[in-house]
This record gives sequence, C-alpha cells and structure tokens, in this order.
Amino acid sequence: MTTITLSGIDKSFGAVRIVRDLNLTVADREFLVLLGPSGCGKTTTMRMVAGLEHPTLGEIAFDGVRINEVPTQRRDVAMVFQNYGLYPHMSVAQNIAYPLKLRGVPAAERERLVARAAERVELTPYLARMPRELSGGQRQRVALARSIVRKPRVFLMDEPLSNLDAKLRVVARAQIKHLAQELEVTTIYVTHDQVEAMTLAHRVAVMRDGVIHQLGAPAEIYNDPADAFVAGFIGNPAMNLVDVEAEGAGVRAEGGLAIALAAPRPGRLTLGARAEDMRIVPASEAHFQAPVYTFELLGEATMATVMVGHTLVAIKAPKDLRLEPDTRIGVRFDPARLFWFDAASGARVRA
Amino acid sequence: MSAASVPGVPGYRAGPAERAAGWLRALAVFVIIAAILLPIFWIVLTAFKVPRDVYTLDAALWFAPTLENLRTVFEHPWNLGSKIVNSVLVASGTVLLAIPMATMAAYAFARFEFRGKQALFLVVIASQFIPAAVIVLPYFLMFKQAGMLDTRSALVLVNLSIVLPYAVWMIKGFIDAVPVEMEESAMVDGASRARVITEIVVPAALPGIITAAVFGFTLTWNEFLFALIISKQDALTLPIGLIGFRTDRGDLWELMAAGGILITAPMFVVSLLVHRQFIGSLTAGAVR
Ligand SMILES: Nc1ncnc2c1ncn2[C@@H]1O[C@H](COP(=O)(O)OP(=O)(O)O)[C@@H](O)[C@H]1O
Ligand SMILES: [Mg+2]
Repeated sequence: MTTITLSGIDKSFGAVRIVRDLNLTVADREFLVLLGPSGCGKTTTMRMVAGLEHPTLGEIAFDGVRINEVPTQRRDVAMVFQNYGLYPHMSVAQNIAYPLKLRGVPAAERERLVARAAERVELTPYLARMPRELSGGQRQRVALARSIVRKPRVFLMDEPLSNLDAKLRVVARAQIKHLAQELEVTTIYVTHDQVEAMTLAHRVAVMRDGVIHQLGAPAEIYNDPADAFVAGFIGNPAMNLVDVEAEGAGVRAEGGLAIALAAPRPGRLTLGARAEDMRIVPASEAHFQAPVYTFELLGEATMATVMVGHTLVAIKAPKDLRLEPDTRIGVRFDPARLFWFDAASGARVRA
Repeated sequence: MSAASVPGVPGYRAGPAERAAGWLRALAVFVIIAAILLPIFWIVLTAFKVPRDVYTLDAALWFAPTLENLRTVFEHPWNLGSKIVNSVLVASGTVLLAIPMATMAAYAFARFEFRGKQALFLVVIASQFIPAAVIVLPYFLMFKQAGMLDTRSALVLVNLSIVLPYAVWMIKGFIDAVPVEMEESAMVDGASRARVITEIVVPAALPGIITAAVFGFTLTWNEFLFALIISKQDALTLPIGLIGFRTDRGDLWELMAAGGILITAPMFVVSLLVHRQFIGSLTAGAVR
C-alpha cells in the first residue's frame, strides 16, 4: 500500500546532469516501467528510490512522507539487481531467507516463507545449492524469490531479464507478470526493451537523457506518441520517420520524392507511420511511389522496404505477396494512423 | 601442425634437446628443494642427538636418538616453556587485534571516499619499508618512558605496527574484489552497515582475511629484533630464547636444534592446515 512520488528530482554526478527535473507519481499497486535507451538515467532514478543514490535536488516521498533522509535499510523496498546481487557464500535457501533473518523472523516461520517463495519461482529443488552452482535463469529466480519472500512497500527491478537468453526471457517475463498480479505491490521496473515494457506495464514512462518524454498506458504510448523520440522508440519495427518539407498541396521528402499528403502546417516536418499502417496499392491510389529496396518474409506477414529520401521505410504486406527488388510500388498511408512532428524539436504537430 | 608434434599426444616422441631440457628442469627443482629442506632435515636430526654425536660425521645420519634435548630446553636456565607462552600470547594477541582493525581500515579504504585517502593509504603502505633498525631505538625510549619495557603488551604494540600495514593492504585487495552490488543488495534487504560488513563483506573476503591472519602470526612469531631490544626477562619470546644457547662455553647446537623444532613445528602445522587456502587466495589476488 504505497504511493511513490518523485518531485522535481535532479541528479548530477559531478558536472554531468543525469536526471533532470523529474516528476513522477507511481500509484499504489501500480506496475510502472521506466523505459529508455541505455544510459538515459533509469537505473539512477531507481537507485534514488531505493536510497542507494541521493538526489541532488527534489523530494522522494512514500505515501506523501518525505524519505530522502531515510537510509536504504529502513525504506522497506525490495530490489532485483541487473546482476542479481546474490550472496555467494550463502546457499539458495539462506539467500532467500536473509531479508527475514534481518527482520528477526523466527527460524520456523522463516523456513515456511522461504519454501513458499521458492515454490512460486520453481526453485524448490535447488534450495541447498550455492549460487555458483546455478544457471543464469536460476540465479535470476533466486533474486526474485529473495525480493518476494517478504511483502515490501515497493518492488524495484533493474533489467532483471537482460542477462537471460531470448527464449528464457519470454518465460521469465510471463512469470514476473504473473507474480506482480499476485503480489499487488507498487513496482518500478527498469528496462531498455520496449516489448517488456509493453507487456508488463500498467503505465510506461519513456525516458531519454534524464527526461521523461511520455508517461502513459502502453496502448497510449503506442497509438498516440507524444513526440518523434517516443514514436521511434516504441514498436517493432520502429515507426517509420521521414523528414519532409511542406510544398504546395503535398510534402516533399529530403531526396525530392513527392508525397501526396497535406501537411498540417508549412515548414519542415517529420512524418511518422508504422509499417502495419501502410499498404501497397496500385499507382492510382498511392500517396507515393518508390522502388523496392529489400523484401523479406516474416512468416505471418512480409515486409517491403523502400527508400524515401535518405530514409528506409518499412511496409508490412500480406504473407503471400512476393516482390522483386527494384520493382516500383505504390504506397498508401492510413490517414487516421499518421503522425506529424516538428522536424527540429521532435514535438508532435497535431492536425 | 601434425599430430605427432603435439606433446602429450600418443605416438609423440621428445627430441634430444627437449629431453635434455626436461632433465635440467628436474635437476633445478631438486636443487631448490634440497636447499630448502636439507637445513631443516639437519636441524631435526641434531635435535635428537647427544652432544657427542653433533660433532662427528660418523653419526651424521646413524646415531642413537635421544629425547634428552627436548626435555633440557624446558629446564632451568633455558625455560623455553615460558618463552613459548610469551610467543603464543604475543602472536595471537597481535593477530586478534590486528585483523579486526585491519578489516575495518581496509573496508574504509576500499569503499569510502574521503579527503586524503590516496595519500593516507600510501603512508600506510610506505610504513612497511622503514627499516626496523631505524625505529627500534625510538620504540625502546618510548616504552621505557611508559614503563612498558619487558612486557608482552609492548611486544604486541610493536608487532601491530609491523603487521597492520600488510594486513590492511592484503584485505583491501580482497574487499575491492567483492562486488558493491552485493552490499547494496544486503542494504535493500534491510541490513545496517555493520551487518553488511560482518555478514556479507567479511565472509566474501574471508580467504584474504585468513591469509592476512596467518601471515601476521608468522611475522610476529618469528620477530626478532624488537623482541631482543624490548624484552629482557619476563617477556622473552622463542627466537630470543634460541640465542641463549650461544654460551661462553660454546654453542649448544643440539639444544638450539630442539628449540628450532619448537619454533618451526607450529608454523609447519599452520601451513599444512591452511596450505590450500593460502595458495588459492594468493593466486586469486594475483589474477584479479
Ligand atoms: N556513480 C556514477 N558516477 C558517475 N556517473 C554515473 C554514475 N552512475 C551512473 N552514471 C552515469 O549516469 C548515466 C545514466 O546511468 P544509468 O542510470 O545507469 O543509465 P541506464 O540505467 O538508463 O542505462 C550514464 O551516463 C552513467 O555513465
Ligand atoms: Mg541501467
């Protein structure tokens, strides 16, 4: 039962400003994902919530009570570190039991809780092992079990899946989602992987250079990006972003290609559209025409890529379509799923 | 590369040059081992000889062994018993004080940022290189002033000054190798700094701490110069006890050898016990 409030948080290491005037409220029992490219300050932000790092400016509060001065061990948070931070001299059972031991939980009760936590993450057969005898996935689950063995006020996870191979990551992701629903603890989850963010989060905060660019539900971030950075960061493949200049009734891409779309305002703009929101059509219906650069089979669909100006633009197409490179194709946008951004600032320009 | 030219592969035959190199290496190893072990072997033999046998080559290897020497050294005027007690008390006292202090200092050097840290650490390390002969007189005067001459406490203090810099340096190396994330993890789990150190850092750095303890015990156990100057009668340690066997009537080699066994045996046992640990931790420090 904890609401986390970050107000006006600034963090500098020496002269380098890593987090800039960050304001964020994580609601009680919310699963919030901090998403952004590597080095944007996600871990630093999370460490400030844990008390492992201290803000240069601003206030952190749990349930409205300032905790800036409260040391880590008294904040009652649980954290899964990127490298798990297991204790190599303790067995799996001792690792999981350590937070309980620190709280003076009696041995019998401790054993019961450890058994339950281990069962939840399917570690029961490994309780007697030492961490060095475990695989990466098992270690990750020990870290997870250690943080869920008690009920913390706040649950923090720093890229807990980044050291797992792709296949295991999908399984572990589902496991974390299931656990989170069961536990109902306020959670901040850090990742640079937008798929993790989209699948796990109640809300996603998209960060870059220490600034939150957009905060919203996954669908909102995907369907209504606040700026060109968010648009380009979310989705796989990333949204096509083409720099254009308004000209006459349409726009012209950098290389001179004309696109028959009315710009919302004159000047230099960035045009954004997702691959699945564009179609390959006959020349008469097309917004623009271009030769095929590459053509790929994805299994459930195909992907045609064309060169627009200096930018590659990907278009999702039906799975039975076949195209040869250099074939001229017509492309049509879905006008309802078209985004305009200011070319210089990246800010959204709404029609 | 053909299979026949790979050493260790069946069918491989060493050339004459390689075989000669092999023999030379074996010889070198033998010479080194002999140089180390022969004196010890000689001392052990001498300790069980009657004085007459010590000086005759006829009885070099073949003689009637006696336990007389090992008994004599405990009697008046040698009294090695009290010297063993002193040595044990001084060495264990030094280690028991040095290791916790060194661990805390090493932790501070490894983990905290404070002004003058680099300089201070350099001073600690540099203090090892001050020749004992230079500071033995100031020590003597200090302890004389304090009325501590010929006390075991004085010897513990002196040995602390020798052991601490080594111990701080050694343990710091091992604490540096403990990932900070482990400590942070413990703090998040609810551990205070004190518990982080005792329950996480110390166990993780234990090989280094044991190494430092063994090393410190050995240094103190064998320490000669300061004990010679500072102790006179009550606080005499084993190494000082040994020079008592050089008397006006000549050197009593068989007694000195018996004393030598008493001084070496504990070190021998300790090194056997921690041998694997010791080697392991030394190399662990080396490859880091
Ligand atoms: N203790 C530190 N001292 C100096 N710079 C740091 C420190 N911790 C992080 N940084 C810098 O802050 C920036 C953000 O780091 P981090 O929060 O770890 O990013 P992220 O988790 O988003 O990848 C990086 O450029 C990193 O080099
Ligand atoms: Mg990070």
